[in-house]
Amino acid sequence: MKMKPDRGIEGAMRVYSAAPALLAPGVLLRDMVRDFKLSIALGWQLAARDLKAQYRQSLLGYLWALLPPLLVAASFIALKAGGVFSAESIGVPYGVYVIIGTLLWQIFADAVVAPLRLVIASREMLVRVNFPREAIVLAGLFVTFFGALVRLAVAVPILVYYQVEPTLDLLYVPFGVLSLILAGTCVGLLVTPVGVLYRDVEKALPALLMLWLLLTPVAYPIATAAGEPGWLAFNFASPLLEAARSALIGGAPIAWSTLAVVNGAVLLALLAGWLLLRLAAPHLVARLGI
Amino acid sequence: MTEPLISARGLGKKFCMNFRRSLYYGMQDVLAEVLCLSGATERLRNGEFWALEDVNFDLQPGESLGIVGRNGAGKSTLLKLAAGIIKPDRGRLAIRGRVGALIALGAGFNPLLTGRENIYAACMVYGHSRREIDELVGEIVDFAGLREFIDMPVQNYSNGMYARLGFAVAVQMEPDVMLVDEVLAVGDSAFQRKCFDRIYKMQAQGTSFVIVSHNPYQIERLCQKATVLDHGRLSPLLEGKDAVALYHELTQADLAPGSSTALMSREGTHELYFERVALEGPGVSLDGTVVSMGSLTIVADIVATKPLSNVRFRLEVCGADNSVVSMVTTIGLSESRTFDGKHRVAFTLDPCQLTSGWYYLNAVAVDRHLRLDAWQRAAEFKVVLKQEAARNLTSDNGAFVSSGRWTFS
Repeated sequence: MKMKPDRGIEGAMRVYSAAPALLAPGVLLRDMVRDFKLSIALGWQLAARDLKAQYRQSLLGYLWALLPPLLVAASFIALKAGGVFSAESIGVPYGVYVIIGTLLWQIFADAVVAPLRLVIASREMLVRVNFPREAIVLAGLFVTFFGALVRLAVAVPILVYYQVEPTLDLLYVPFGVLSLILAGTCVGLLVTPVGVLYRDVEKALPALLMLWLLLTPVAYPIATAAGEPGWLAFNFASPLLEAARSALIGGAPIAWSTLAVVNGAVLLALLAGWLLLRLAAPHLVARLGI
Repeated sequence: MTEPLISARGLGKKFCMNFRRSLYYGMQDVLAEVLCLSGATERLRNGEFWALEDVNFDLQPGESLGIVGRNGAGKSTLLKLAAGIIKPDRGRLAIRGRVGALIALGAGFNPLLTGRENIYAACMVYGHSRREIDELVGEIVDFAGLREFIDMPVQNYSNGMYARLGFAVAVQMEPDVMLVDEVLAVGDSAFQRKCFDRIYKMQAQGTSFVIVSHNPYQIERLCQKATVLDHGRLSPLLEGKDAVALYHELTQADLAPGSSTALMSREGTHELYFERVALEGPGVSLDGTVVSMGSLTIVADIVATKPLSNVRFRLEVCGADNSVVSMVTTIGLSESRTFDGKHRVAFTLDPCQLTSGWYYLNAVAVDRHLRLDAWQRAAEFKVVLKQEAARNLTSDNGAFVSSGRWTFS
């Protein structure tokens, strides 16, 4: 036991009051930076714990990161072979197009569900310990990164099998995957406050993600009759997914300017989501039980 | 006067019983927070009440404060406000220094992971770095006394083992203020003792404690100051023993008077039963208060429905923590007598050496091994200490007032 015989009171005074935190932006910003720093190591630990616990009680273990997207890809390949739809304009073999598409989509979908899933799983801790709440979101990010790594590792033999020629665009892949994850996290963060209070969100997310998959060029290029994307242009997952896939396998050229706009918006929304979670946390925890 | 470590002014927190409505209010609160609507939380909405209302106190560095209260009095809410887990709806709470919280043992343990893996995660949640934990882990395992079980998933732990690990993890912090919520009743008596020793040691090193409990005796042992939280309101800070007395006065009001007096609800054949158990003597006042060190007679009026011999009586004086302080029996005195109809059995404590506080009496009558009547809480009384010059020879703390004398040579 380390002894601290003559110690002073360390640390600043904290004041808790009913006043909205936004009224003291300086304090809020300082706390956010401090907590973010504290959260990195903790998030890492929580992520390791989540992964271990998730797979310890399962036979197939980490294979579960791969099975669902590969099954989705297989069904699209079967549908296409049966002539249900055609995808002639893609410029690459359909198999690699759809397999890489679903693997990337699964990374995005994981990122969407991760914040809410981990917040709900950490309920007991949230109610009883005051630790930086950011750690949970970071843990979600780390878990998603891990899944992404597994999937990218599987993508390599698939690329080799389809004899995809590597290009300079490959350099964009890490950034492409990162921006998919951040965009997904963004959506996840923004629905988390409501999702913590109402379980409807947790129940609805998988169904909405399935719908979203169908509206995104995962298994087929999206083009409307008029050639105009219409309201589907607001689907920010499309340019992110297409860019990451093009960087991996070629095909459609990467739309750099759209990417820049979308990624900028994602970063802004991410900050907003972080702020929202921070402001909402004490109110949510108060409703989660004493 | 130094600046207080914790200072609460007009602190209030609302609560809503109806869960669905509470969720809806939660949404409203988040919205008000985001839109910066200050003062939106001041008003009570439909179905809400103040779980904590107008709480004021100051805690100086090095002092420990105990808060006693019944279940649902708002104790945990107060600790969570101090820990910054939830936000007040009114007033303010300022707290200096590092704050540690022992609010629930093993919060956040994952059942599938081993004890060791959980130590790492939990310690990080409490703010330790990985390197610190590498150093601490051996000490934690030893303190919890779980060396042979530490690489087993905690879902296979018994409740006691789980709580021990939780306590061992939580006390590794060296905070300036430690918030403790009803967690000291874990493990076997040897472990409990270890916990108390650890707390004393931390207190000696300058850590202040805020301990909430519904066990006033625990509080009395650990805190110089104590107070009672009742229906969300905090009494002024008192010396330990006074707070215990106040707490019992409050809980006293809760015990349904006469509920146990009904003969039918009492155990036994009732061939012989107690009609009345009361206290008599010069030190007994009308409101049932007994002055210590005077003579005190416990009187039991009994009714035998048929002639009975071989009867024994037993009287138990119990403290407010339900421990038996003293027990007297008539073994060897009453068996040869025959009881028929109304009789009176009495025992005189001379002097009554009880320390101040609340007590109750249990009265039992048996016929050989057959229970005739067992009356729990047959009478309740409060002992106060006589104010006199000799009073300072003996302390009011402890189990009984000694009647002895000092000698100096």
